[in-house]
Amino acid sequence: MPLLASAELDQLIQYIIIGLSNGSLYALIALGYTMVYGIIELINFAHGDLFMLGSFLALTMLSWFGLDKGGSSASTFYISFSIAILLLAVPIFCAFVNAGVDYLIYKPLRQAPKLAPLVSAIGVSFIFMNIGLFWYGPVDVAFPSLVTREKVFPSSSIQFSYQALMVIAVTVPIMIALTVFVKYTNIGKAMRATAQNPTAAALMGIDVNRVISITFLLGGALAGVASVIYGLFNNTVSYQMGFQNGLYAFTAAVVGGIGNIPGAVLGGLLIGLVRSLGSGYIDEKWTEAMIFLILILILIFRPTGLLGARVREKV
Amino acid sequence: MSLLSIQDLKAGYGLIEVLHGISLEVHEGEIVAVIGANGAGKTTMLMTVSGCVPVRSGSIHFNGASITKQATCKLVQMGIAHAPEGRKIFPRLTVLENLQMGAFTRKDNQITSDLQKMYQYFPILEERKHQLGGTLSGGQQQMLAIARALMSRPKLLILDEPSLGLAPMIVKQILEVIRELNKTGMNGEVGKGMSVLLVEQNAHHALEISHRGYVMESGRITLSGPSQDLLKDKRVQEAYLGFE
Repeated sequence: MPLLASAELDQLIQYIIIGLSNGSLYALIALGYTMVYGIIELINFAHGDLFMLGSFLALTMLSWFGLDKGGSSASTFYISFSIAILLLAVPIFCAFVNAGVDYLIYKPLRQAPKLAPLVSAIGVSFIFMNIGLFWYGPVDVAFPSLVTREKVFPSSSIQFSYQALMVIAVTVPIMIALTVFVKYTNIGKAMRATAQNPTAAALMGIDVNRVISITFLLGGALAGVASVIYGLFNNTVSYQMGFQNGLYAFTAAVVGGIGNIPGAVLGGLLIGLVRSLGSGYIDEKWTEAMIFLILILILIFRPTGLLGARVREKV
Repeated sequence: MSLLSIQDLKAGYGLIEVLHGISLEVHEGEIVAVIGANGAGKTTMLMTVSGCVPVRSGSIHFNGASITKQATCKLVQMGIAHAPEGRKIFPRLTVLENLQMGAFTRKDNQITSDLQKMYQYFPILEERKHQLGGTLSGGQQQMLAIARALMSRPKLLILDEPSLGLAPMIVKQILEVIRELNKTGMNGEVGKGMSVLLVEQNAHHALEISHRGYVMESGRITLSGPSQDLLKDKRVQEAYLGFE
């Protein structure tokens, strides 16, 4: 006799697919938190709201393309082309906004006590949220469902939609590319070196300010990608979405071990799963409590996070 | 010819002035040692040369050009490499990646052959090349810090306390490499040696290996001259060489 009735199994797989899809979006956002923290030990509280602005830009651009009310009358080619443009333009926008904020606000505070840039980041978060409020108002806004929710395998009983496929097709290659970039390129190694010891990095001829700018550009771009995909997958955006998703992503970064890139991905996926399984089997209203309970438990037993620095350093 | 020239240098941290007017020269092909007690300002002087501590007054020239206000990251390309106090290797980069970071500014195709040279100087680094820097022993980390600095093919190698806390055998090995680099440089050509500015608490080692020496006390140079003379100097013997 099967352990689970087949309908229950389908249900479980369904929750896992949703969890992993949302989780990989949290992971993309978490990477921006973790990389910036790794380099300048700043928790960039404005990062979630940058993600929200990215979604809003995507929605505005869709209205330019005539797709903001849905794409029923447009050709598949036109829709794919528009999404491709979004996936190019929105990350560039987010990258430069992120690096611009760093240049104008955090950089002058680099030598100040750590609390100064932190409080400034909270301030930037509010500024972004207010921009979002002016942009689309205080209500939830529908984001067109341009990618169909139809099953990829129509004969299968599992609801694996084209939307979920899109999330995986975009996020997985990006995470692989980022890992390769950070591990094998000269700039990637310089980023890790700067994170571990900025003074020594400068003595190697590494322009630390440039590395910090590149980090903000990269983190912003990842949030930009996540914001477009989030809109297409969840079909609702609001000026407050940055706060909630930013909080999940930040938690993901801490759970995985802040400053650790694979850790952010793992943490993101984990939180996505907890959210969807928790909503499915327990109750939606408890999911946030569960996420933070897990955070607390992990921090009690592994204060450096799941994949945080485990190397014992000799001095 | 003077490769590095420091004139009446004053620098410090916050309200505290550490260097009260230091003048020092390193000529091409020389090993120059700076000795002095803990807290005399030796490391601060090196960090000021490297642009990590701002200059308050005075000047620093390298190879004829002023580097008084030069950004730290530009100095490597000018030909200065600095193996800092406490080694400051990258603990979560592999030994190989640490060495590659030393060659960060280089675009030439001799980086691989220079890596091989580092493995000849310090064979243990080749054995450990895929290990994380933070897992090396103190002596191995010091070798890595020196090799990493050498990977930029500097004209001037700055070494801050390379012998601190190391076993005598390893100190000997490191001093041997320094002497060889000074004689023939990295290409093994006699007369094209590397200049070295060496800061040490171990005055004996430092004066043995160097051509000239400076004695630093509370942010001032109190004595200087050929190292052989300093070794015979009564004041140096009493204060730094442990003679009664």
